Amino acid sequence: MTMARESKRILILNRGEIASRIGKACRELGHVGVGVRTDNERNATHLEFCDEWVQLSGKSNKETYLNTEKIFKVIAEHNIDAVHPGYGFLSENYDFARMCEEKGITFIGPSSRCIELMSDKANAKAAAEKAGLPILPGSKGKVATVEEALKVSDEIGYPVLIKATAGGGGRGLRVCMTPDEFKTNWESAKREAEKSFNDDSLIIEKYVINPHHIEIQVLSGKDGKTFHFYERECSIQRKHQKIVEEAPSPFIGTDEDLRKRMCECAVQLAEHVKYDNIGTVEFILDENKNFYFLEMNTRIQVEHTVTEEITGIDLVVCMTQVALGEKVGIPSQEWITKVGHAIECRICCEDPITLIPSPGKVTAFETSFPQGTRFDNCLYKDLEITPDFDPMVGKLVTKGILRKIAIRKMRSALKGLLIEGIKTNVPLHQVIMMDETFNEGKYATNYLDKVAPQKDVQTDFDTDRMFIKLAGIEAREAGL
Amino acid sequence: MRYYFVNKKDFDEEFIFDLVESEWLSPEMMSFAYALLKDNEVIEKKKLYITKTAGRYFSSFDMVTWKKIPRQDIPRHIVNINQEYSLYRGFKPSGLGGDAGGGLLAQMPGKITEIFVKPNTVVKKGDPLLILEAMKMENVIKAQMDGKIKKINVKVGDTVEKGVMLIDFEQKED
Repeated sequence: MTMARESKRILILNRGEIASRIGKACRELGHVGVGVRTDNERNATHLEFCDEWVQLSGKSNKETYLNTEKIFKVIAEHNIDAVHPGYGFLSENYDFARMCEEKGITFIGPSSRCIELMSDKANAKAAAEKAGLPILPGSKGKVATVEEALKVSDEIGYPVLIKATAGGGGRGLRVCMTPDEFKTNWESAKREAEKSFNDDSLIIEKYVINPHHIEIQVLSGKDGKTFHFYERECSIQRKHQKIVEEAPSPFIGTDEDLRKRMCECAVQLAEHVKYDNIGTVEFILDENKNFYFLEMNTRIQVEHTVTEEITGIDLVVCMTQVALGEKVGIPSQEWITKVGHAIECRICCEDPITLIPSPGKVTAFETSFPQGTRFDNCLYKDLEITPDFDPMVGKLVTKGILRKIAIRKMRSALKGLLIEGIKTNVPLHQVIMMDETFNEGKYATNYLDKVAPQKDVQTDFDTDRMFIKLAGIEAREAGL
Repeated sequence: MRYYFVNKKDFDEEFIFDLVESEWLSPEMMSFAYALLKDNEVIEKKKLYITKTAGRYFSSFDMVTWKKIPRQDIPRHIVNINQEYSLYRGFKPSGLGGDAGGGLLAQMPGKITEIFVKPNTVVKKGDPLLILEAMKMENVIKAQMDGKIKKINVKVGDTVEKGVMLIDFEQKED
């Protein structure tokens, strides 16, 4: 006898590697994944894992991925039951989540109430404080004027951090060492926040110098029961955007007590606010192993892969099941164990030294990876990378029973990742994977500035590589 | 056959690859010999082998160790780590190089959100000149050398294509 199970139609409202990732999860669960593509994504690779797809007419993000009117039209016309927003775009837009709820469409993510609470950094911090989590000193809520902000900064002492309350991805974020620096940064942070999030409200917080950025993955069921999936270390960042992540954290290392306390805090917060899907509680961990609540991300994150690799649990599948009211089948926290170590390198099309995005056309793409490598990507030969989207084109993930094995595999995987035609940060990752500080696991968020692996990227004109490239092209043309 | 590699940023940097000889060694293997010229002098000569096995291409310099290479058609440009080279086969179009030196070219398409300098501003290497917003990031474009701003060809709010001359620049004479 087969089990009767209703197949849902899930709209995958994203692009690139995460859309493929969601498509795979939909298929696995026996649902129909409905992908979308815009007018300038004629060669969208993510559709490969969608069972159906819909054209979202228009070119800019505003006309397509962010156009709720158009999206609800698609939802109605194509009998969509649920929407998976992925990350970015509408994933943390509580208005959109609320509209879905009102129309009886399942939003695959937390409820609009949770998103709204956590999307405002001031409210999130207040909730964390109430839940008993350690927080950083800073402004009580939003700060309206620069005068008021300067006063708050004087009270808590420099350096301070200006943060957009609606912030994310490093936008609207400024570190200020002195009052003078504060004044110049205030306006630009406001402008960037307004442009990126349509909300220019800012908060002030004490800035911890060279902290570790540790985050705890959590999953809450509709019954309010929350599980954690251990931590991720995301301290290697440029412009406050992560480029290398790993799990578990080498800084926490064997300090099981610290790990347990941080994980418990994350669960405590989720249960306190009656959280109801996947989320990440971010902490700042200083050199003396004091940790402070930073923010909570109410979406699946780019770096969820490393957690999946060490726990063996498919988080995208879990969040979909929770949202659809299906059984996830995790009996207890003890059941979630971690084994070994996983590292993720974000592959971005950018100059490996200046880290400036470098869009262009991929003229060749092939891989030959070591055993057990995972490469979530949207690359293919002839892909045109436009400046409209994020420069990340893939996530290379390796794992090993020991950290050094994961690193060894990553070195080999980076060698086997062949991307031609665009500048990528692969040479930078290669230097990081060979770097002593990284290998010892003794890095903090200042790594790219302090250790500056960019300086060690070999930039000599590689004649042998060019000979090979030309010969390859000629051989192909000659008909070999 | 001659290949020209012209650095997209610094037109003076140019490499010439001459295919001196190519030969079919078997239906599955070819050999190629190249000479590399820089400033009209041969700086390197090399012979290499390409073979195709199971639909994949492999290269070797010694016919002992083979390295997988990606299939690609002749591209218009080639990247070496952090430099982009325009690739020309057979002949090089005239009009390359010349007055571009000293100017600030947009290295990516984007939108100008802020300009810090005015004509006649004297700047030092590393001084911020303008902000080019691209790929959702504000990228501060800095002066590549000491000098003086001659002319600013863009204004705040302009959307620019890659390769557009943003600022005319006068390099400081030593």
